[in-house]
Amino acid sequence: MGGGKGGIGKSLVSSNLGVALANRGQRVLLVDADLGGANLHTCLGVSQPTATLSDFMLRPKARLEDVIVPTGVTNLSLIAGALDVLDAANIKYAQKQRLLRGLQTQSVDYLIIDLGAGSSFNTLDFFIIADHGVLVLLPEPTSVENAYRFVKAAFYRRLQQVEAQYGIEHLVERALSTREGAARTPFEIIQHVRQQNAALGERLEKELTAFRVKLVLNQARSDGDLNVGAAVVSAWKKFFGLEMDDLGAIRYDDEAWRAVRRRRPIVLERPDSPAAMGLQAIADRLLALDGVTG
Amino acid sequence: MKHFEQQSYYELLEIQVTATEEQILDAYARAMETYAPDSIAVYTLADPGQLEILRQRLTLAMETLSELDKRLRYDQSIGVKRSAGELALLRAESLKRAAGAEPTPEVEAKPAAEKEPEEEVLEAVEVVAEEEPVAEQTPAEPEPVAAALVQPAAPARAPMPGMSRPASHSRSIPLVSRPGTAVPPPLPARSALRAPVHAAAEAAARQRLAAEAAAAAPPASEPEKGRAPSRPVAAQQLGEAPVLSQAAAIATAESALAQVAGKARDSRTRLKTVVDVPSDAEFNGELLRRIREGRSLSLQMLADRTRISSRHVEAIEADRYGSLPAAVYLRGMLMSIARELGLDPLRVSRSYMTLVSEGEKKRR
Repeated sequence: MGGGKGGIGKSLVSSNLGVALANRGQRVLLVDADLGGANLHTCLGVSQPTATLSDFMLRPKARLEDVIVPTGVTNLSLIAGALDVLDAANIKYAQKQRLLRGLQTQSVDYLIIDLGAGSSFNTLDFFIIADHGVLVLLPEPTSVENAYRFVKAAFYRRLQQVEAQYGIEHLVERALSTREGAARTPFEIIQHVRQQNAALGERLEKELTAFRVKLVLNQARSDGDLNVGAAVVSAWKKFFGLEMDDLGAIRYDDEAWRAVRRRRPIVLERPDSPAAMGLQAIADRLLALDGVTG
Repeated sequence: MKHFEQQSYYELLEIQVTATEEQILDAYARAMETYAPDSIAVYTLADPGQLEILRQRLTLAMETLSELDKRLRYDQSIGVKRSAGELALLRAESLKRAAGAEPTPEVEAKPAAEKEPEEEVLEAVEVVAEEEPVAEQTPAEPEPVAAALVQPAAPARAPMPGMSRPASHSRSIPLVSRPGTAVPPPLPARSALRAPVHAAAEAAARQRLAAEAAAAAPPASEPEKGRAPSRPVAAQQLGEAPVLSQAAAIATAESALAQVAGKARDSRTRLKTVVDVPSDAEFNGELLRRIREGRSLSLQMLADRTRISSRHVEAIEADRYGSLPAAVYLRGMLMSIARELGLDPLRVSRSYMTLVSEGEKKRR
């Protein structure tokens, strides 16, 4: 669950989506990977988690299973964020690899990783291991700007993992580090590879089209806002060349704010509110995408 | 993976190659909103130059695909193959549309026919093909277009039990069933609302027109031959259609009415008062202003709803061709205004753009 900008409801969407999926019989593990600003536990009303991610990171022998705490919701457990390590946001490469490996070996149906703001590699690297990279977006220019920057950065970070076989290191490097490079699109990269080797270009294209972000529009205040998701999907394809899936929109809703004040997920607290219904629909769409029925 | 400049017109508008004219115009209006200069969806993703190029291509796509001859030529150029049935359907739709917008030679030859109300009810769709152009030939008694009837209120009213079918209802059928010329529904809620009442009637009309078009050798060039003998058939089938649709519609009438009530509060709903627009009208700024006022819309309200600056709306209504925005923007604005006013977007924009270019020639 990413989005670039802070305060756009990533934690709210993560926690409520977790509850909604758990209520549908899925085993869900929520992970607070907002390394510098963890608060997912608060969204779920777990005020003092007995173990957190910092226990895992500070003790080389600890296993990820040791820091999983219950949430009070059946099927839903939590790895709370690092609370007592002030430089958690700057974890070392080796620590990150250990955490990534630990996460990928968890036997659950859904692992929901709530990311922090920004587009640092420490954030992107969690986003790109996901089967569904969910991009949370508000219908505001600031959020849209950060979302595009985030998803482009994630795309090129993902590309770094496959670059070696295609001979595009310098292109990817430039895209990630320079202004002119950042303006590049997958079209140009594929074109570049194709000029050298048509078959390789074909394979790269296939690989790149697999980068298919899922969009969640939060805080829709008008009917027009409900269409922003579809508009972004269209624009992303026309100008960047990649597909996105519109998972749906969540209405701006004072009930959501009140639920946060009560430290309760809105899908439990006010299941009939517009925001909760939007979240339920998103959970259903996700299950449908994965072919999970009943 | 294609950059938009390599996308086909269909891909650009994100429509199927089988799309109807109405769907094409709808898709165009949606795209113009998505790719407006101030659209949030392209913020930091595309620079203004690229956006302008995309908008021009979208307009070109719409203009090519919304005229059947051009569309078929384009199809050929990109290798789209169509089955005979598909082709017949497209031809029939285009015919219906053309009949509503321009006088046909057949009608010119005929004296203005006397109206027979009973016949009108039965002939529903045919009426459009023949009566309207007749009215265009006799400007002395311009035929009012009852715009209010195109709106959701009309479909919702039709199936109400106990209500005698108003004579004017027969006028609403041709208007609604004519794709594109009637207001294309931009809101899903509204098309859903329209569907139950007219689905059966429209399906019947489409089937018949398709069959008719297939039967008449080159239907596009000789509409009169295909049409005349099919009249009694049309009367029969359409006589049945309302009965079928009524049965289906009664079930959904209540929810439809609830939706109408709900939608009435929505700022985007266009419940109209009746304004008389002669069917041969030239859509200059003056007429657009009169229609707007007839809808009890202030200039500012129209500007807000279409998200066009009030300065532009004012210049358009005042026919101040010198201070209008560039043609590519102007066309989109005119279409938005037309939609908001419940007019045929394509007809309004073409009519107005013609006036603009004539005005420019004069000034030179």
